[in-house]
Amino acid sequence: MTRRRLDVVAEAPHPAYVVWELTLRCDHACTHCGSRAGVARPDELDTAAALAVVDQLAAMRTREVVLIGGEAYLHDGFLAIARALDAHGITVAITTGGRGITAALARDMAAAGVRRASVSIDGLEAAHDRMRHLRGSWQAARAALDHLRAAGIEIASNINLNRSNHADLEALYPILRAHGITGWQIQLTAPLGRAADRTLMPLQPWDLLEVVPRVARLKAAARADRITIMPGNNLGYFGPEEVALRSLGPADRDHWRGCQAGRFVLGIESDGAVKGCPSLQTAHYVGGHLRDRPLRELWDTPEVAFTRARTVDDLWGFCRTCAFAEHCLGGCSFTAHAVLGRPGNNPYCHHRARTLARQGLRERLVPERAASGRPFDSGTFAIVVEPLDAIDPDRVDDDARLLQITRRPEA
Amino acid sequence: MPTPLHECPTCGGLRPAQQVCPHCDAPVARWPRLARNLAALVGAGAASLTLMACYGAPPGYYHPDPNDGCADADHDQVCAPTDCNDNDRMIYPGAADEDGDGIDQNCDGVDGWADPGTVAAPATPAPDAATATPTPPPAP
Repeated sequence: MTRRRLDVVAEAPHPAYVVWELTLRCDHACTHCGSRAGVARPDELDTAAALAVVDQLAAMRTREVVLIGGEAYLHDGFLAIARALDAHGITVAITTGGRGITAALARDMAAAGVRRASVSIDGLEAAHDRMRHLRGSWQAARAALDHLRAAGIEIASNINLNRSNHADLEALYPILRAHGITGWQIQLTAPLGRAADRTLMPLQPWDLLEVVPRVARLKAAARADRITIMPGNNLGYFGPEEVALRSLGPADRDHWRGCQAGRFVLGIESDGAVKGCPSLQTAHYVGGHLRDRPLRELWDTPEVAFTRARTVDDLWGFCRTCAFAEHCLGGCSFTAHAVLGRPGNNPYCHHRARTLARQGLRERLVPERAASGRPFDSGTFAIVVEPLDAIDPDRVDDDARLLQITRRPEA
Repeated sequence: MPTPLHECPTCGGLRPAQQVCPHCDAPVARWPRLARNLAALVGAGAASLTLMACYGAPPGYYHPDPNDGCADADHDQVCAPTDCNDNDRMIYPGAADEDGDGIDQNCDGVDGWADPGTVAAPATPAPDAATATPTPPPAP
């Protein structure tokens, strides 16, 4: 059993899998970025403070830490922090846009103990560069894959699927395979951060009727290439492909078992704010700051531990009545919150879309309240139930239009 | 802990126990792939999953650990003897199994999918059920 797979009933909650934003400083300004990364937060943890956090993670049995940003490599202590994590026996990985990863930096990362790197590649060249407003970004990301692999770091990739790039999925796979990836994470662009301002960009819920089976077919084919495709936490839920999508190996019978935020997953923002998952909305789910309180205390705060006591009674709308309710518990918390303003009812669900489609219906999300304009913020949408074959008023042929701001943030 | 989900013997999708399949409307099955469900439950842990997070990094290709007693000569991520043919990586429990080609790709004891009506409940699972071959069904 790999270190990332565990029995969520047999194990007591602990931060086994941690995603740690070292700095919000970034060399990209992606249109879909949930944290609105670009400029460092005003009061980020310095290297000494971060190293103290490493010790706390080790004491709480953390298995793996993924260093992110912004760009993690733009933090002065990036390599020292990776080295300290590795010295504690914690698997060190990064998720990166890759723009600043040179051959030399990749070698330094490998020497510091970085074992795995996931480079964000959001489609073919045109779609990827368009999402970043930056020509050359796609080529830089691919070069980063090569530098990392040459340095001996296991390479993977990740993609945010939305209406501007989902058509590229099948064409992108052989390109990534040729680079030598061993894993590919496919997740939805949720209306979080800058994506909350671009309401034409995210998929509509009924798009899952087409997208989920495509991902499942890719995953089955990738096994023969020894590549593990895994859906992000906000993709899937109890369609016929659920086991195939969610399982790591073919003998596994895994399925979604509710949001693991604050149970076995932890997110740390660069100023030391602690959340149950890195994508959760800062304004609602921060339990406190590592400058003020130790991690062991923050881990059990109600804001971080909110999923531990979640039951079907906490669900509402379709999810409350769903046949899979006690297993699913409303899917991904931050995604549901980003759509309807609170978790427990998630329109981005394959089973839900299929159930409605069998009735000839679909749910369309219509923008309501705008986001605040701060990192990890979101607005709200209303759900309109309409015929499955109704004209889609948000369908546009110009991909660039899909990325335009359609709902200005408040700040 | 919630009641375990079962695999629908008709479409393979998960469904709650004692409910009509929400995917294909198949009626309640008396023994819904019981052997497979039990073997998976005992072998993989009652409620195992792979931890994921957006902004996280996906797990790489899963290499079974020989130190755990796992033989996986064909690198299909399934250890023998659960893998009924450890020399062919297209053969493993759960693989697509085309009916009529004479090959049991999914290790259920027959070519094609075993008729769910003929799947017998296994006796008490062996202590080492984590690596045991699922009980094959009797010949139809």
